[in-house]
Amino acid sequence: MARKRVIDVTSSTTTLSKNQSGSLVVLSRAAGIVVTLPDAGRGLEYEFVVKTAVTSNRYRFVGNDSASMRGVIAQASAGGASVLHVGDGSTHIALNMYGTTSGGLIGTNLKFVCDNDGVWNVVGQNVISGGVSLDAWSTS
Amino acid sequence: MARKRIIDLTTTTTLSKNQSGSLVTLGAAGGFTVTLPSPGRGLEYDFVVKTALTGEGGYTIQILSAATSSMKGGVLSGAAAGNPLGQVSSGASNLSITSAAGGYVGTHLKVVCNNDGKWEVSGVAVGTGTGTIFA
Repeated sequence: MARKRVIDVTSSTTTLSKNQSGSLVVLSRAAGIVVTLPDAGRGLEYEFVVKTAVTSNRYRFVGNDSASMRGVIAQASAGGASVLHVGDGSTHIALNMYGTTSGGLIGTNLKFVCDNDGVWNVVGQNVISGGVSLDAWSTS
Repeated sequence: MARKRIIDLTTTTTLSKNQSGSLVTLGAAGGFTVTLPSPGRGLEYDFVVKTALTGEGGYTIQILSAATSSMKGGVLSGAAAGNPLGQVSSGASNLSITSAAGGYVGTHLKVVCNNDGKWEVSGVAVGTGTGTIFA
């Protein structure tokens, strides 16, 4: 029987290790969390789910070495139409979710896998609460 | 420490069962065809578009034989910053990624073989529009 390791995060910052690859990381802090991924390494993978909606500051995902990120995130409010936001794999190095318009509410889930080029491949759903859908991908 | 195997593809390829569990990157602007192995319960592959399609060609992910298997599932497909459409199939023989349907960097599709020998498909596809993925 395969079981995934589960890591609960309730502090304002957390730095994941390579040994934690394969884990499900549960984000639970209304005042936000800065998640630092380890330096890029092929095959490293992490899944994230939001247990507590962010209401101030942000949920931020960034590599320790600021590695690039590519991927597509379907972003929507409950019952609302989705918008696709795309990371380009070159200039995008982070995701910033500030809550109502850029996500990080309950139901948000993301998967990160690092490829052979040291780029994080990201896919997932990002839950917002209003009609405005701002892009969580960031170049800084 | 769990690490996913990464397979970089730039040309037509048939995947093996031993490569199950891998993340397969699709990396040729002109596209190519990837053939899945014969069905086997629990086999799974993730595909990401690493190089955007630029011409008439496409990335095709196909089953080995329509006589013994098929694909079913649902995929969100749309343009960047656009509203995607849900696409559903109960009996496709391939996933046809074109510039209009999933041909941009970031598209991520997952296939998992169920107990009936059918490939379950999920994912999010980004291209120039909401073109059909299942074929």
